[in-house]
Amino acid sequence: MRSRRRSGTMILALVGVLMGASAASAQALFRSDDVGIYDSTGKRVGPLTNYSEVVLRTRSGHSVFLQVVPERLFGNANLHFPERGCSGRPFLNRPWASGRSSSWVGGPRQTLYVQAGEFGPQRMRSTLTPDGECRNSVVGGPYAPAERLDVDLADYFTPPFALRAIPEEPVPIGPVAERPDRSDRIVLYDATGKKVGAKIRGSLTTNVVLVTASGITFELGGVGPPRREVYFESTDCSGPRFMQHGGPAASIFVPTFLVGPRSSVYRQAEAAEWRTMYSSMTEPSGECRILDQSDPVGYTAWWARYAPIGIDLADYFTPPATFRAGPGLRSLPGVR
Amino acid sequence: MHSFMGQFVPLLALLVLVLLAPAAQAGERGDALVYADHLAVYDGFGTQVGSSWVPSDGFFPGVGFMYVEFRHGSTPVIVRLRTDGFQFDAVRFSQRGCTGDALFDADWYHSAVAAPHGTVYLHAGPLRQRTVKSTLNTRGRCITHEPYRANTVPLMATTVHLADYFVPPFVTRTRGRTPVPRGAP
Repeated sequence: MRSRRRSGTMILALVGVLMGASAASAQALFRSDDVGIYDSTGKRVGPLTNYSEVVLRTRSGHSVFLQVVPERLFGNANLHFPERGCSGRPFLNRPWASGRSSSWVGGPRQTLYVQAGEFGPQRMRSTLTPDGECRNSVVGGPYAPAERLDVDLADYFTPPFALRAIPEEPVPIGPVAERPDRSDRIVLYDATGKKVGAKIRGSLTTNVVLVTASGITFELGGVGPPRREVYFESTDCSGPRFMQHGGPAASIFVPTFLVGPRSSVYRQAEAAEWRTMYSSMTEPSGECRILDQSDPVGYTAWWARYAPIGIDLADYFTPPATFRAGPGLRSLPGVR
Repeated sequence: MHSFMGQFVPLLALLVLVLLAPAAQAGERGDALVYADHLAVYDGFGTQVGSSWVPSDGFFPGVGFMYVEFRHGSTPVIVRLRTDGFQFDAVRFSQRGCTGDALFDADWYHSAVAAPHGTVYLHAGPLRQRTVKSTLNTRGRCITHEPYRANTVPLMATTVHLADYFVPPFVTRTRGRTPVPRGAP
């Protein structure tokens, strides 16, 4: 009886493997509504609240909005002083993002300064950089008094920092219409009514985040078909695919794009390097053209190589995709 | 001998307490990080505006918007706020005198909110070329102008006027209690 049950289990497992093999995707896919910034020890820093912003609080009740790049955390304002040589009471300028209180992080221990009053017109004569360098220059504008807190971020977090999502629901293969859950906020649905994923909370983007079984977190702006130009070092659109980058600096977001009729997910595989491209392909037509190297703009620039992550969206989703609001979002006042 | 030492035990305990008290107080005075588990916008009366986790933008220091999310049925509604009030949008119309079909300049991330009362409009169709003959500007004034063709999305007016429900100034606040552990986990 036991051996018969074991045989049945093995047959079921084999059927599962064969069914899995019929799809091109090499690994399972998960949705996630829990996207955050993590440090190198795996400790959560906080939820992503904007493109590269996390929010924390202090026990004393200050909200702290921090900018994050892979190498470090920054405040959202500069630290100014009314006297030359960075002496006198410190002040903070207004942050670029609206509705946020100002903060500054700097010095060898990443010490935290927060806004401790209202903004008013002031004249400042020096500025302290996050690296501890004092620069004398006279500037005027609205500034708020700053308070140095007994909080050193170096006591809490260890760079580098990365964006990670916690895998939640597995995404089934094929078309499966799904009903909204009570906690759903803004969710992307494909043409068959299947959920693609939840819009990243609090981030000024309409992208959703998915996670592979191997732990790769990636963003999607849609489910295909791809519409973009990709570049090659070869003259016949063969070999690795490249995309242009602003420079070698890494971002919290590792970019992805979709390739081919099966919308294969490609992700940036290494830091951008100074390279020359010789051909390009227009997606989705697949038309290849040799680049004109006499172009004054040139095709020698910062380029990053992209590699497939083993997920073909065609196995999972049917385009086009649209956003729907779920019951987890507040209704407009006066509307039931 | 034993009783002689016993006499000193309470005295030693008291001494230890006196010596440790300032250190304990300093630990309590020192600040610490906690995780924020809620970030939302509140109006001048302390009413929460929209759902939590509010994104914000800004091109210059202090110039930008907070984006609050609502829903109208299953349609997402994203409204822009400044600290001092609602951010109104220019709403275009297909006919003179701000009549006919209401139109929006592009398929923006946010919904259209018209002056002067914050009337919310929903996106109601795809982006394509349409003729625009008048505009309700961000000050609530209707301007009839020369017709022009532009890429627009059609809008559907709701009966919601945000000014009936929310009063500036708008501020973001966080809540949270879970301490961030120091050091590596």
